[in-house]
Amino acid sequence: MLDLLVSVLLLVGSLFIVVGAFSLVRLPDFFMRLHGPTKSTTLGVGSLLLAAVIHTADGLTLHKLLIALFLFMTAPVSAFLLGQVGLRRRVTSRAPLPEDFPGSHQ
Amino acid sequence: MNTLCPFPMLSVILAATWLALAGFSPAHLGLALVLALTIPRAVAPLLGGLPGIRSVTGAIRLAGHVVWDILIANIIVARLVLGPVSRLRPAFVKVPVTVTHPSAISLFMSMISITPGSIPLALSPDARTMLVHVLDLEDEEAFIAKVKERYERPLMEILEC
Amino acid sequence: MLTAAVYVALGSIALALTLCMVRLMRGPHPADRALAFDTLYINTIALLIVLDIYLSTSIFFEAALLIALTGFVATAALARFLARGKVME
Repeated sequence: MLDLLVSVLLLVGSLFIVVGAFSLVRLPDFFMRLHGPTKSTTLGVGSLLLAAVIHTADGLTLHKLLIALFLFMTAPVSAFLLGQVGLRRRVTSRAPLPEDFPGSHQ
Repeated sequence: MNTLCPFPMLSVILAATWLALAGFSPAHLGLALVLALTIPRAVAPLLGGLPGIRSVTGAIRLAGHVVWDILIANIIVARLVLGPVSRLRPAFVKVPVTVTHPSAISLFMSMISITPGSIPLALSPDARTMLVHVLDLEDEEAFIAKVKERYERPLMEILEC
Repeated sequence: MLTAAVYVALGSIALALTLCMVRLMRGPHPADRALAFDTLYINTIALLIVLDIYLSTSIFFEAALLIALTGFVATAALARFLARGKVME
């Protein structure tokens, strides 16, 4: 029963990770590519970690949860910083880049 | 008290995390106390003032909303990515920001970032507007209203600022 | 059944790593490469986690935690360098 839960979590997690990486290759412009990995990978790694917590119940549960917590905290920051690169260097974008946004060229 | 331990919650979290990671022993307890007292003082100038939490139940409810939204977001984004790319309508949206406290703004942007197909990319210098890239925008007004209603309003109720 | 699931997971993460490498090499903009690097290190964490389940140990978690820490700092530094041309001011 527990094995079934671990297996399902493993499959769901790896599915989201593949979708995230796939969107990196598939989507046409930088700002759209930013969406796939930053989201899918956090949930992907999240469910893989949950599977690991259930599978190997030892004293290191907190280490695993700490990785998940850290990734969920840093994913928005990474996405923001990478987005700043796109805005400042004016990467080609399908959506028209805002001309007048003050934060984008200080 | 204030100079010795400027952020009590942060100190408690640091000590608890250290003990949980390193294992409990008298030596580690001592080290955890040292860390809990020195680290908050070292980072105090960076933190400024942290807002207090007014409603713990509200915070838990908001966290529940966000976790639920992350799940939904991932399914929606996965379907958008696997579907026809030409049908996506990416757009930049300027979202007005009402909260003023830096921590609140940071939390607001983080919550937008980890939920459905939207990423904040920039904040205006006066911190009144943020620029959000949306992967598939249907209705700009509805998007702004939804984000402000679902994340910003609970945040204003939870934090003292 | 668990073994099969672990193999599928390992295979898909390997596929994901390959896809990241494709974007890393293709670019075209440095920002795309930085994004590909960001995804690459998160996928490496995923690979280590699944390896831990496969081998029924916990020895890779320390490595995964370290990669999570250094990977974020690397992405942040890289993004700042690309955006401003310098890391510190």
